[in-house]
Amino acid sequence: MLGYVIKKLLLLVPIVLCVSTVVFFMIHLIPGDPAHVLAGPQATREDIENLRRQLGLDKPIWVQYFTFLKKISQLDFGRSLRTDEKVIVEIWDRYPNTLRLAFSATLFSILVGIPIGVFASLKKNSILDGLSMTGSILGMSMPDFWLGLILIYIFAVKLKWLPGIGFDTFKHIVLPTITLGSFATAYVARMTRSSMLETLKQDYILAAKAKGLSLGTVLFKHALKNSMIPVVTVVGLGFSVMLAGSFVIETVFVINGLGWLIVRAILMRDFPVVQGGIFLISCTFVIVNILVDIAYAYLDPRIKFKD
Amino acid sequence: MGKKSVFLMLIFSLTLAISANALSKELRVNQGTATILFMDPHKERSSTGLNFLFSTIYDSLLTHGKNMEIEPMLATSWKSSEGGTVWTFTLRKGVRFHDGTPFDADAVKFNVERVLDPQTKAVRGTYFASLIKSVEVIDPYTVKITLKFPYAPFAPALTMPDIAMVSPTAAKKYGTDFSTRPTGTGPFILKEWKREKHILLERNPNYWKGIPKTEVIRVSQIREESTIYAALKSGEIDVEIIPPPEFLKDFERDPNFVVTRGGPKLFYEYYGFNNERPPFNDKKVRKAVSHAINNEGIVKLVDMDYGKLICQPLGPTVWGYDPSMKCIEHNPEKAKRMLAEIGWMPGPDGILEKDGKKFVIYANIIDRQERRFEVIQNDLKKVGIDLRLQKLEWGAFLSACVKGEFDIFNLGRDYKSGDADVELYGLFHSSNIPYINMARYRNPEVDKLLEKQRMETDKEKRLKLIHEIIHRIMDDVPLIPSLIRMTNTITNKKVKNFYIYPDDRMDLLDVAVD
Repeated sequence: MLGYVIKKLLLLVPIVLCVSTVVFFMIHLIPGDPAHVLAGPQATREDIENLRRQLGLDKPIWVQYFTFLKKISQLDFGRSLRTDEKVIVEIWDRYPNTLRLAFSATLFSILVGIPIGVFASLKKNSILDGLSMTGSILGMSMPDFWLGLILIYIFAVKLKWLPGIGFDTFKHIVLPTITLGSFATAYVARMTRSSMLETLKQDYILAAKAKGLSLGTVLFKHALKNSMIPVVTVVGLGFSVMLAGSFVIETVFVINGLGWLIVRAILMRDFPVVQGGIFLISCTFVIVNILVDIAYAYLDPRIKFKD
Repeated sequence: MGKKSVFLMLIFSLTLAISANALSKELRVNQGTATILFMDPHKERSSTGLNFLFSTIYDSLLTHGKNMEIEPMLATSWKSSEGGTVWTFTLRKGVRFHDGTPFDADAVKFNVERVLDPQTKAVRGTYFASLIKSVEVIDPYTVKITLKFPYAPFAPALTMPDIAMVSPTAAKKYGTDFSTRPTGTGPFILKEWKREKHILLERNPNYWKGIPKTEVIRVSQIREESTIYAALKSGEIDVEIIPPPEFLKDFERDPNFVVTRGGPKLFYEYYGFNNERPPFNDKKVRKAVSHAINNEGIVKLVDMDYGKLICQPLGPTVWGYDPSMKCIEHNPEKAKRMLAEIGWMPGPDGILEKDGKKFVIYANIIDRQERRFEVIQNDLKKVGIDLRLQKLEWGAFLSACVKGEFDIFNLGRDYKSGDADVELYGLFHSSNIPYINMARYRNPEVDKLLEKQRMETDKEKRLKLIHEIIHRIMDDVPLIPSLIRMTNTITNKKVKNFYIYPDDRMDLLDVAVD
């Protein structure tokens, strides 16, 4: 397994290089003059030209690209065109918040989604099964933006039980976690249910029941673990999606996160920040995939890693 | 855990809660419309960011009063001589920067030269460099600034926060990091800055004007309107300085809040024509279309309490404003007649045609402009003009406007000097095509008048020149002035004496939280 992990980590380099190159050329193809966007609509021609020179944006794109390659080989992402702050500082200020949000939302989806899915599979075609699956459809259909505002209105404005903005304490984490985690929870619940139903049909489960084992033992010792492979896949993918797509939640709850930083950097043509942010998300994505693969091996020892 | 321990824990928690409330003399203001990038007034680009810095951490040599009259600030008096090319300032004594550095003539010289230095990359660097020749220290509290030419509105230019005074010691010590370690002479000192999250300021006990009543100000940066609403209602913020107009009536009905509907700001908006390409390269077409658009209706119904109608490219608080200027009359019949006189006749589908070409025009629009332009589309359809909307993202919008790929657009302007020169020169002098002068207006006579007025040191003569410029411009109709934004605020009722000047500076000296 160690060999497998090392091989995957080494693949990080070409993967991230490809992603960075594609992103570099894509953002340079977006219409708009970055110097003008940064200087603003009240800037004179001279102001804009000066800014363009100062930021190195007057150089040909190939020169800019090779300068960029040289810098990232030294893990130097340069400075934000907008704030003149080091990109690494800008990202590192925000990345932990996005990571924390994605992690707590993922944990929420596991702790809530899996039990609901298991319960629904045991009570198949009952009213409770119907309610839980309807709930999951709602969870997948509700726009997270809308859900977040509704939760703020109920819990922060009306009941005043929880704060509506910020991300400093445990209380602050609750509403953003539920908002971001609702889709994943619904998906995990549905995936768990269908996977459990498949597993519960297997002969070894029948044999276990015939042996007189308790429901708990059948479920938790035999069925659940074997049902988790597709669920782990979904959870891993969901975590990566949350990392990249959290900017709506960050805006609603005023969380200083990576999502909004990257979105705004794209709008403001702040190329170094876009590059740095995408680089970090790509690396995280690859690492999460490795962890999912390791989880597979743990859940099903039949899965072996070929070196 | 024993009962005694539980009891002690309860008492401890209660004490913490009570003491937290007793200690919190904190004013919580939201300012979400623009992110502050630099806590350095010479480098900060956003107008809202500058307003914030200028209200809290920094002072300038001069400032505006409540009626936009020029008032002393760090300079107590000033005079111009030698035909308006030399300006001498007497400085306020006994003022210190937050780090203890004395404020004196050397500090002023340092600041002016810092703005002029290309290495600083000051936002208004090129503007001030075009005016200022040299700065000279006469004595510790007298400084002389020599201009390259007699620039009549130099005093208003010095009210701009872009040339506020920073501590020379701190600027030299921290270099490019100064923007995260701001040091001014203002009523508040930076305590903590978490970018795009909050800014924490504590009062300056040595402020030259007096000790601010509020001990701490927490500035949050909530962008999302619904979240702002919730934060106000839940008490997480006390003041919203630029509330969406939809909020005002709701909060007026809530006895826990005070809605202040203030006067006009400096910020105004306009619809610009593309004066360089058909059909709007023809003045008659521009005039006709101006009569077709019900600007007053749009301001009342679409913009609601956001702003008030204006009839010229200056706000009423700007020096040079002409109160006699009348708005373009909304008269669709007149618009049709004018267009018919120059050959635009209705086709079979009702759209005007001339020489086989239909009257189809394009508007570049950005987020939140859809409603206005839908009304304009309707107005123009009534006179036979087909207006098509092109919604663009901000960067693409700017690029398209600079390239002239539009017929109409909608933008705003906001310069803090409070003088007509910067407003008019920027927007209408042909040297600024196609950047600030995106409408591509070119009139050599207006150019000459604009150049002349800035050197006219006689106030009455200058005012006459400016009024003549405004009338000539509005006769050419290169753009349609739309609205002037109003200073509306929402404050929790426990906040007292919160005031915003027309130039968006907040008066935080006397504000208190009950």
